[in-house]
Amino acid sequence: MHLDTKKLLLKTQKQVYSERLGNHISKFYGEGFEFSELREYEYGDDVRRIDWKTTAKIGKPYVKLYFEERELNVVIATMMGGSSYFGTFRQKCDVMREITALIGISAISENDRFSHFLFADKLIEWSKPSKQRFSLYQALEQMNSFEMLGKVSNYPGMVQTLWTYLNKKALLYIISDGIGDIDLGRLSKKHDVVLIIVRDRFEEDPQELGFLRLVDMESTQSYLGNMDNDAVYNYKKALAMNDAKLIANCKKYGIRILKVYTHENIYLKLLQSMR
Amino acid sequence: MFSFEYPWALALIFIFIICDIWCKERNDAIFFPHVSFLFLKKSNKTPILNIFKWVGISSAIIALASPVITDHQNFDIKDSKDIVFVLDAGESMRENVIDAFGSKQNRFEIAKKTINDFISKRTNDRMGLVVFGDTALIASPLTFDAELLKSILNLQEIGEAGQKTAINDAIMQSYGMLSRSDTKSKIVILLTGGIDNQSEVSKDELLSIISKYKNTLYTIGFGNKYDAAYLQELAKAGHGMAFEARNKLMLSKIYSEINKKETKMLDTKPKKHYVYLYLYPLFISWLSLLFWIYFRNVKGI
Repeated sequence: MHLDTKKLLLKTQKQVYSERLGNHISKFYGEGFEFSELREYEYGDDVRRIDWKTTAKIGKPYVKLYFEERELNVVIATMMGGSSYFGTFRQKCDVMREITALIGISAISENDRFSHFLFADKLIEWSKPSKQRFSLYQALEQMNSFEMLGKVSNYPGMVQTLWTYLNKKALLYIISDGIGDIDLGRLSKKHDVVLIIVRDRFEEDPQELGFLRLVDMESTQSYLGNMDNDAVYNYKKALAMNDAKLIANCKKYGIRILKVYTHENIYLKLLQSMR
Repeated sequence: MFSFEYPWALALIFIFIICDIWCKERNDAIFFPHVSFLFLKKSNKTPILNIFKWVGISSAIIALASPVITDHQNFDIKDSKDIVFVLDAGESMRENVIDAFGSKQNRFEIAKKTINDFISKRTNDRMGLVVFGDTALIASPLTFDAELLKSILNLQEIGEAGQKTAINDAIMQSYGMLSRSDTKSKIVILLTGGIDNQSEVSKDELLSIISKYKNTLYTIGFGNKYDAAYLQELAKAGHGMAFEARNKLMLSKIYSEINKKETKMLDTKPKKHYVYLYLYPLFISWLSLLFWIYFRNVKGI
């Protein structure tokens, strides 16, 4: 990881800061460096905040207000079902790991609390919020050694688990391949949710393969048939329907979507989206 | 009649069905995400390959079981016999006979009916009919067509060949008819109700000719006016038997006895004639298996 990950700044659109002081400018007034406004002194304001220059110019006491700098709760939930064991350029699960690493390092370098949840058919592993690099390494190690084949992506279970486990508001990154019955509305009420969809080029635009057996990595069911134009057309149609449904859902609840392909430069892609 | 030569071969289909369930063929498989979520739901599986496969397998098995059409009726000319009915059509046959049920019928009608039944029982023979009165006439030459012979027989009437009885001439006529045929077994069945009183051929002449040939001569005296001793003499010379009948029942018994006797002498079993049909299912099987291979490979990778 010799990329300049400090350029990768995690930003949030919602006020999901923790109560501790940190490096992110919140909309709360308090002690900080980010100037907000000048306001006439009211009874009860701290006299130490009176700006003497303005007061001298106008003749009335004015206080200078600053935005408070708070800490961010960064949570990454990775859905590593069996279908992530796929990729023509790189494996989708490798890409997921790289995204986790980039976001995690960025969070830790910003002095934010970082925790990681690994899901498949159920909650596999999770780490408590931490600012230690070791915690991230451990999470990556867990992702590396996880055998995802035969595990069905359980999205409702993931939403339920995150709902119960995350007590504090968080900047929640959900990394998945975005196929299935996904409804993140409940989570978006509380957290700032960013959905990162990891897809493979071939998965979205498959070629005619001819007569062969396809094995599903999640259900381990096999499909023996002729993968001709018709089948590809039907597949794409079903995928487009799934995507349209997902995008509509995310739009409804104000969830940001970022789509990453396995053949792309993931760092640049994240950088672009977070600028 | 349609049947299978080896019907147990049809049981082979179970091996294929069991194998289709338990030991599936292993072919190249690739991992593909969300097959069950996106593929199986939407794509309509084309069963054409399966149809070709199973039609090919089942018709091959049907071909192996060898469907045949068996024809029992088909005769072999070697086993056939020549039978000549020599029927008395003189005035002596006009006499009525009262049967057990009380109905009257003249002898000629009874004789016609009985011969008719006899013809129906013989399936593999060539039969002819000689009718005699004053003279002997060939009513029908030797023929395999039993229906034709029956209709000719039904057309016969009393007195068409004259009023009197020319037994000797009639026998000579029938022997002459048989001498032209190459068949090994030749039979003459004489049915008369009177005494010879018109023949140009004398008794001694006739006897010498009869004994010279190997033909079998059955003589039947019907009623009460015939010369039993004379008929016996003829039958003895003709390597056959003499019978006597008073009424319809006795007559039909005599004919069935003759039928039995002549059938017994037939030592050959009824030959079966097979028409093999395996070529058609085999053709279908080849075609569908060819199409199966074609569709699998052409559309394959």
